[in-house]
Amino acid sequence: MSTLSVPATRRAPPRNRALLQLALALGVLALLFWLFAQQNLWGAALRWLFPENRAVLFERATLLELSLQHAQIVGLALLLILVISLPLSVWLTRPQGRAFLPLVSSLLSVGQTFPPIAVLALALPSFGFGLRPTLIALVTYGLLPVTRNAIAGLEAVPEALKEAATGMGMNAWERLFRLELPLATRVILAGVRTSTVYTVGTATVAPIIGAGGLGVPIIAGLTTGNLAYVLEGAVPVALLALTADFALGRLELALTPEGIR
Amino acid sequence: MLLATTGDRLNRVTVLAAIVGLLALLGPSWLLLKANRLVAGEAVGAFALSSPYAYALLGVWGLLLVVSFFRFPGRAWGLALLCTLALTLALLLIGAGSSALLAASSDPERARVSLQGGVWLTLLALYIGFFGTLGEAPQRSGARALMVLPGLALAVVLVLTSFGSVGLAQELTSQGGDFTAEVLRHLALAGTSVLLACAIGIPAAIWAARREEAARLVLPTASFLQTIPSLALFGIMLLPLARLGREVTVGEALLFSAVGLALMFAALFLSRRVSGRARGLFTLLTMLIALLPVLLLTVMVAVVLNDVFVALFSLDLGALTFPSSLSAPLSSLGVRGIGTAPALIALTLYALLPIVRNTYTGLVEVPGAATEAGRGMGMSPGQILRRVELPLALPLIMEGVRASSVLSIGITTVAFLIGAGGLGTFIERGISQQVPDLILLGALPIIGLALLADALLRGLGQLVTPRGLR
Repeated sequence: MSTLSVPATRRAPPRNRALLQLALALGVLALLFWLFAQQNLWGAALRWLFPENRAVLFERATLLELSLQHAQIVGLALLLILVISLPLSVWLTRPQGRAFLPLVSSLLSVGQTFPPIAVLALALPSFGFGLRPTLIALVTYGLLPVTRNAIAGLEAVPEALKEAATGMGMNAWERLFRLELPLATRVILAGVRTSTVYTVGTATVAPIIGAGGLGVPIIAGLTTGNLAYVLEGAVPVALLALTADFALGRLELALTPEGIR
Repeated sequence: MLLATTGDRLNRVTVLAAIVGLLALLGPSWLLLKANRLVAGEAVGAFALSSPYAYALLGVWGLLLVVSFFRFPGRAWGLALLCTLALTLALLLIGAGSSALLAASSDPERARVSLQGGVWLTLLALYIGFFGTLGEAPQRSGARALMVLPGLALAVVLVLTSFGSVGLAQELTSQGGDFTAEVLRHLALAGTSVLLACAIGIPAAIWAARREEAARLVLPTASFLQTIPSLALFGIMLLPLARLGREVTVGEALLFSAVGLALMFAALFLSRRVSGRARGLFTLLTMLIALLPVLLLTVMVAVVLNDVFVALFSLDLGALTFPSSLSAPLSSLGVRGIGTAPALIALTLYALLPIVRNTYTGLVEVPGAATEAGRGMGMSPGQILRRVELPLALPLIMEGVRASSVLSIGITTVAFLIGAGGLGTFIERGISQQVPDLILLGALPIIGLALLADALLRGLGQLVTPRGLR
């Protein structure tokens, strides 16, 4: 807040620190997928836990394949969520869309009471098995945190700053892209983080309707009573959720404009 | 309040409602007739049902569109009336339309009528319509209730009386007693976990609000727990719980918990005599020692509480069975790798975060002047907590309980995956038998229960708000 009191020479470190945060985030993610690639290590660990099981590792796909599939589903869902929710929140906080703001927030919170499995199941008849119904369910579920935070972040930009921007000769678009969105970035990213954690977790039920991911061995293990399969999916999915949470936390720090850090 | 009163002449929200309603009505699919449950069927539009209700509904949506453009005194009441009419007509159209379709089919005994996109879109339009109406309604809660409640009451009556030939109702009849049983199990699972989360979360949050180092432990733990996907949590608990249930007897478990609790209380008592830095270390050590016994006790309490709830809800106390002897394995109590125990643990852990966070925030935000005044009146710290801080924090605590109840009702859906039952059972049956109506039979009540819990706990939250805060 009191950036004025900081001497000019000490402005340099934050940028480096941002890069460091980014590197840290990517590094942890890389480490995680390297760990997933160690098929033999997982096999040995599970064999030690379940010496009497006939198979301890899911045969039809390696752990790395499953986790990449999971990451792909989550990534696609998040992309869709951002593409829908950012323009929507911007529109809802402009004078033209403000009348619909209460309605949309209410619809979104109702949408979140829908159990994702039910959305998955109901999307089945119209969209068939596979990726599409999964994405629909994940997007329905993950839309709320991002949109809610984006609206809150855009609304929180002080009126005085907007007036100052107008006074500097910015038009509405410039004000949005150079003032409001940068200032709201941190809050929006916090929403993205919540959504990501939800989505990583919810995507585990996707195999019920024939999509892939780390839920595949869990569901297979639960239906055949093979605990080793269950753990092969459960532990990586928990690790993935925690790592994603951590990495996005770093990203949040890295992308926050210097002035409001 | 979320609902903003607009001064505009044009009510944009009800215009949207009318447009969505008209699109739904004019669209190609309203109902779907299938020769039996399993085959693909043919969709029928609203006007193809040749029912007068369709034309009446068209008129009502049109009128709503027109009225939304002109402001006059009492327009909100007019809008409310139109929305109620639209709701009534839509339900009548569904009821009459599906009976007509069934009667005209070749084998009415086995034919099924499913609701299609048009019907769901109409429900969305009605939601938007009522929402827009309330947006320009007077702020008095009595008037607001009067605008919505008659429509809802009428809807309940109409659904009960005229929906006999809709496929969803037929699935309900064929599932019979199963349905009530699963609803009860669902409620018992969600209710038990929220209660336990309160019992654990509120004291933990009070502790966190008292001491900063506790806050650094409690809050991150609660959010960490919510990060772990539910299915993963089920999976990870399977093995330890299965072993526990098989190899430990009820008596041993009780003894273990009792010793642990006794140790914990003794240590707490002693820790008052230890001073300075050693105190923190001492507390940490005690907690570590007490952790396992307390967890074990919590799991046992959870399982028994859940059984009691199920028995109470179904008014069948005779169904309660307790292990006959202390030497019976824990699994006879219900502590197994599969079933209610892992479901309850996972649900409780998820329910913690909103309760902990809100209680903590509520306590921290109590104005210093209020506690100061309490101290000035000669209250002890315990009295200040009970008579000043907790009452002032109560609205926020209730908000946390509400959020975690809605969350729990939703997550309980996946409990079927580990054999704990609940409404997810029908969703699973619907998927495996490929009957969308059966999926709906599971999904709609979950949404209904979540919304009901939301409304009830919101109301309760307003009731318990101290008069001075309202």
